[in-house]
Amino acid sequence: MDDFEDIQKKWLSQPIVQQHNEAAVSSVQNKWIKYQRKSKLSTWLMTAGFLVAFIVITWVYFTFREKYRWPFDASIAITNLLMVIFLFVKWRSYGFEKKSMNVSEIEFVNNQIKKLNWDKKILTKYLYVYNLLLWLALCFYTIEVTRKGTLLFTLTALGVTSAYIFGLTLWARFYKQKKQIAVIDDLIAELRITLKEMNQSS
Amino acid sequence: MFNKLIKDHHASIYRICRAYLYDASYADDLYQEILYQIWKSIQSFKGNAQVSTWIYRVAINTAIGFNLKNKRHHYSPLPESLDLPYNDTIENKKEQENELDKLRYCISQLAAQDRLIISLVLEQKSYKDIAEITGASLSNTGVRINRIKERLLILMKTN
Repeated sequence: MDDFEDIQKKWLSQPIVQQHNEAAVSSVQNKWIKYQRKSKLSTWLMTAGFLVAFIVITWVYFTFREKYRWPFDASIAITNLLMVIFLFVKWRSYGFEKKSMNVSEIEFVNNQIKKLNWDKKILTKYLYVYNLLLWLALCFYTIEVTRKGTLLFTLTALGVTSAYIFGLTLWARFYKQKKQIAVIDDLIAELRITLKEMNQSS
Repeated sequence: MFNKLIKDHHASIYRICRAYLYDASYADDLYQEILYQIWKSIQSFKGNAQVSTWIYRVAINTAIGFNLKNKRHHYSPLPESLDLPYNDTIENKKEQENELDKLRYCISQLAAQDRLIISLVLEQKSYKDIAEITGASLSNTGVRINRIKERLLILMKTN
């Protein structure tokens, strides 16, 4: 044990490169003020964007609802549902980021695992639900607004819309998300090992 | 309050960074990140724990988060094995600095979680405080600390 006490003494006697100074503290405070400003601005922009979208969609609905049938109503309803889903996902992700650092290490690691599982769920489930609903909304809308055109015109419009949505979904699934999911899986595995190590005494 | 907290604890925070990350430049980045997280979290501190325990909790959690973030950016922050630095000039180094380098190197050979635990032990925190910081049980913490100490002593003797 004497050996360890020697080690401890050596460790505590090491020179400290990072001296306390007012400039460093001020820099941290400025960083936080900038972050808060940015976060506030992004929240306000998001809120304003949704408000504008909601007003425009509502205006479109009340202006044209007499002209169209139920697929038009369905497309508007699905679009509003999409906005609610998007807001839910956004605020839940924001909630994870706000999780305090002021918790024990085990709780912190558990929170990190929950957050990563949520990120994974967004990529592997919710994004598909979102894309499917978006496709449905666009299909209903296209069918209804091209009703007076030829069948070929309607089918072409539907084909282009479907190719665009499903093309993007497939590209994301097999290229972009593949890497992201691999990184998330890797991090979750590592955190689980960490958790196991923390709960084991030997 | 923030200013005083940092003034009182900056040395401990810096040593934790150096124990967790062998590379001094990463340790400096982590130090800045810990200051930032303490400043962010200070309003949520309700005085349920000792100030020092609270600070160590923030520091340890920030270190884990820092490691994850760096992994995402494909850095390799935690070298698996390193040669002792300054091999060429090692004879010219002061004995104390030499020993400290060796100690840092040996700590870097421990697992990431063990580095965090040993950094708290080296800061003379009690087993009870360490259990409170990590959230593990007191008996687990005790057994684990003894195991890490033994491993560190062996590394110090064999290097």
